[in-house]
Amino acid sequence: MRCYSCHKNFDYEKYYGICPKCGCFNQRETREERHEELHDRFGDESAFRPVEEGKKRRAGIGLLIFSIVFLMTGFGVLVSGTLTYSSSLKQKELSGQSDNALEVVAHEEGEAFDFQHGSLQIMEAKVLADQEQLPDLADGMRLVAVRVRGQSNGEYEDYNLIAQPYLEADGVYRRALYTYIFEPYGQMLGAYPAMEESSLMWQTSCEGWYGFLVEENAQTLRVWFDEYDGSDWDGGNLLAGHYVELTLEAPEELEGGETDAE
Amino acid sequence: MRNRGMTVVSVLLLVVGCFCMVLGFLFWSGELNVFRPDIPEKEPYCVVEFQEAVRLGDTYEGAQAYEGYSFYELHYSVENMGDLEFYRGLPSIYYMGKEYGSVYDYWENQNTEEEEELFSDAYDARIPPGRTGKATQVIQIREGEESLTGSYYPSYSDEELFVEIQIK
Repeated sequence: MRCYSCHKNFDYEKYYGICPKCGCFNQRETREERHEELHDRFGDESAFRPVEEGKKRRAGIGLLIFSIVFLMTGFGVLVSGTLTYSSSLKQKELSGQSDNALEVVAHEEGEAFDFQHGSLQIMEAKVLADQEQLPDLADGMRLVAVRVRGQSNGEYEDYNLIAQPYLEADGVYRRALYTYIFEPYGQMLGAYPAMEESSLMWQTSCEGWYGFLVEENAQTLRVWFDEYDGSDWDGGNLLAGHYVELTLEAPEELEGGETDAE
Repeated sequence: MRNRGMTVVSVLLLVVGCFCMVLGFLFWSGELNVFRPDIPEKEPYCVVEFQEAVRLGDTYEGAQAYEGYSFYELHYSVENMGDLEFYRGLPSIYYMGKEYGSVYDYWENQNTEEEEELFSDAYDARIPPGRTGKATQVIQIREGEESLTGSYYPSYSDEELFVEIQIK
């Protein structure tokens, strides 16, 4: 056996349990182990075994059963998680395998068209200001606004997000001004409220304005709204591009002049 | 001894069970992307086509062209064949002429006043996915050049495309 103290291997029988190196007495078996050995030697399986040993065995069996159940539960979670994930991947793959050419749909001003899970209507477009009203505008540019009316199921879901629209002027595309930037000017110049991407997420209908910059001499204007399927945080897959040819209406008098909006 | 054996087996089963549980939750939440490599991230893919070159002369917006050079305005159409908006109107093009130094796309602007314009973030042209936009670029070209070759990257990858520009 190995000495408990100095870990030297020695013959227990020869040295009667006393380590020849350090002199430590090593008791080979506990009282329970000697009792167990007697039962094993004489083949007695009766209840003379110590009570603690029975408890230990039951505890061991209980732990084993619990471990097996835990393993099976973990395996079940793994399988169901894998199935859920692979089905979502498959759904995304099918969406991505659709025809790459963008579906482009033209509409008229005032026409309500199906858009995502609701509808949109481009009502009107008008010039809000040019460099005379807002001197800090870049040379040759003017601020225009487009009024939009929308309807949805009012659910707070990604499919009710309205991606920021574009204004195409003679082949040049520009995004709408951010709401927080446009809103104070729009309110001052008669285009209020400003639309947000989430305007249809918690209400079934909305109406508002988008602000755009456009060249003063632009000939053809189109406002574009891109329709997404809402399958991902960034809108998901692009389904179609909807556009409306715009005719700008300039107010008789562009009000504004000096502002303290800045 | 038998108890020790059962305990060891139980611990092993618990560890494996924990591992399966964690993996399963990661798959559920979509955080584990080991099976996603075939699905590419969205990106733009802009193909540039040259339209025409317009000679502007020796000056442009207060800047004087270098000696032996003239300003030209190059007109392009840019088709975004990707599934993500391109954040500018035109990819960066590197121009090559007959010799090194045939083209300059930068110069000292004599108009040093730089005023911050209102809504400056909204001036930049973009190319939405699936659409074709128009773009222009003003560069200096050495007199006598008849054609240029422009190279650019249409997407986020290392793929490089070329566009031929006819000056005359």
